[in-house]
Amino acid sequence: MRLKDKIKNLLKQEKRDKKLTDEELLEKQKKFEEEAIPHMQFLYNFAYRMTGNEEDAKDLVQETYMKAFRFWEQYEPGTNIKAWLFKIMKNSYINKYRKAAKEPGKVDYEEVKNFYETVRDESFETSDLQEHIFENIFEDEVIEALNKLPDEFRTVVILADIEGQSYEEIADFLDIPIGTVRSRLHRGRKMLRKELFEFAKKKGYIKGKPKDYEIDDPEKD
Amino acid sequence: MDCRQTREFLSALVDNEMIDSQIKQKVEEHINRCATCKNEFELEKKTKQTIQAKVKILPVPNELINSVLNQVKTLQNGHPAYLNTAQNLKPMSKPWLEIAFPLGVVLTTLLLAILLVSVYEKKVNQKELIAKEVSGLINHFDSISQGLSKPEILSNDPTHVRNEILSRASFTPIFLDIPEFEIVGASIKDPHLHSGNAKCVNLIYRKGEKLIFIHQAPMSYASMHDDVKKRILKGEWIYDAIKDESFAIWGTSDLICCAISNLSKEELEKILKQSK
Repeated sequence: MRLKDKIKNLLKQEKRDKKLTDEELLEKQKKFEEEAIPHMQFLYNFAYRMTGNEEDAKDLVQETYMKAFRFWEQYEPGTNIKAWLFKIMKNSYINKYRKAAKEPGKVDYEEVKNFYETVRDESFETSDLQEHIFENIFEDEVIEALNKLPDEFRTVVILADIEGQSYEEIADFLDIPIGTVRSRLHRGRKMLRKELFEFAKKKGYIKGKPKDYEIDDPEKD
Repeated sequence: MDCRQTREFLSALVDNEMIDSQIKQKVEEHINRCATCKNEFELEKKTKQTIQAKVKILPVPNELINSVLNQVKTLQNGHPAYLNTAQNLKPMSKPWLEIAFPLGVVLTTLLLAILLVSVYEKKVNQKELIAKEVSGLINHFDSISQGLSKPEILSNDPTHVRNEILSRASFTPIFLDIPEFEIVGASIKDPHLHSGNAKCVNLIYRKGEKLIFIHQAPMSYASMHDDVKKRILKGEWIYDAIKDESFAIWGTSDLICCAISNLSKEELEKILKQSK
């Protein structure tokens, strides 16, 4: 082959390579949009409930997607993309909102213990009273109560009760065993109930002295 | 099964997530026998229902979907989003934060002092004069190095920065080749409030934690004291430092250039001489 042809071929080859890369890039973008974008509602709602406002939720979701796109090569096709995206967002959330936080996913037992000690002192529920607690409660009070829970418990309550995720999915999102999902959810709901009871008491829906209520021993849980 | 064991499975019973039918049966048997656990179960069910009834799933705002899709496209086209490069700038900003406030106070005081001096005394010290000229730039440099303000162009690709600058600036700036330093970004906004003219280019060079900021503007737009201008037009390179920032001012036939850096005065001088 003459040198001139060789150069010509090389140039052609180079052009083809370049074009292929463009196609690959387009393919990447398409795949990303097809696979990752549909989970935005799930991510946005979780972000909204964790941050408590639209602006921060939008920022968090946006950051999550940008990171996901940049690290798209690290995602293994066929694995749980929703969990992958969730973990990216959870890390972003921790970096942003809990600078001095403990390890992600780890429960601060001190925090929980303190919480339980307050629950222990004033038990709050008998079956006759439950109607009063639940029926007079407003949306913002549920949200406020939710915001008072430690992050680990809030997370599972949001995922299970607001977002309707299965225990298996939640276990996958948080890298914890299903048994832990079960118990965190049970405790989380109980803590939330305690907060709702406080609201009800403040508003005067519930009267009476603590001794009238059945004492529920938290040690049982 | 006792109360304690039962409680571990209450949430699963509420959510219909019981996988093991034997356990499920045992839990149900216990609940039917134990009033406390039954109450607990009913309350948990009610709690879940209350959350579901009161806290609804929110629709995703359209602008969020659009901005995510747009940002993906931008990333795709090789223009890294701010997020990308911001992380590169952040680590070095930390030590700066500690001096930022006192520095701001010092600069403001200095500026005030200069103003007072210039009003009451006709004869102005050359050093202070120059400090006044560069203080606006130093503030700009500070806010960028601390991540408080964002340069319009940020990229790990120097060619991209060059192209962007060339397409946006109203004059052709000089792209100094500074050994070991890379161009990481640029801004076109004029930090001089008094000139009010967007006719300058600020190139940001970086090497690890070291930053050099090269400000350039056409000589005709440069609003500076005649004494300083004269020195520059003679070909003099003025080196000095204010607190931790060193700077250099020089000129070409039609451009006025100013370098601001977090290097020492001597180091900056050495590097700039190598770059010529």
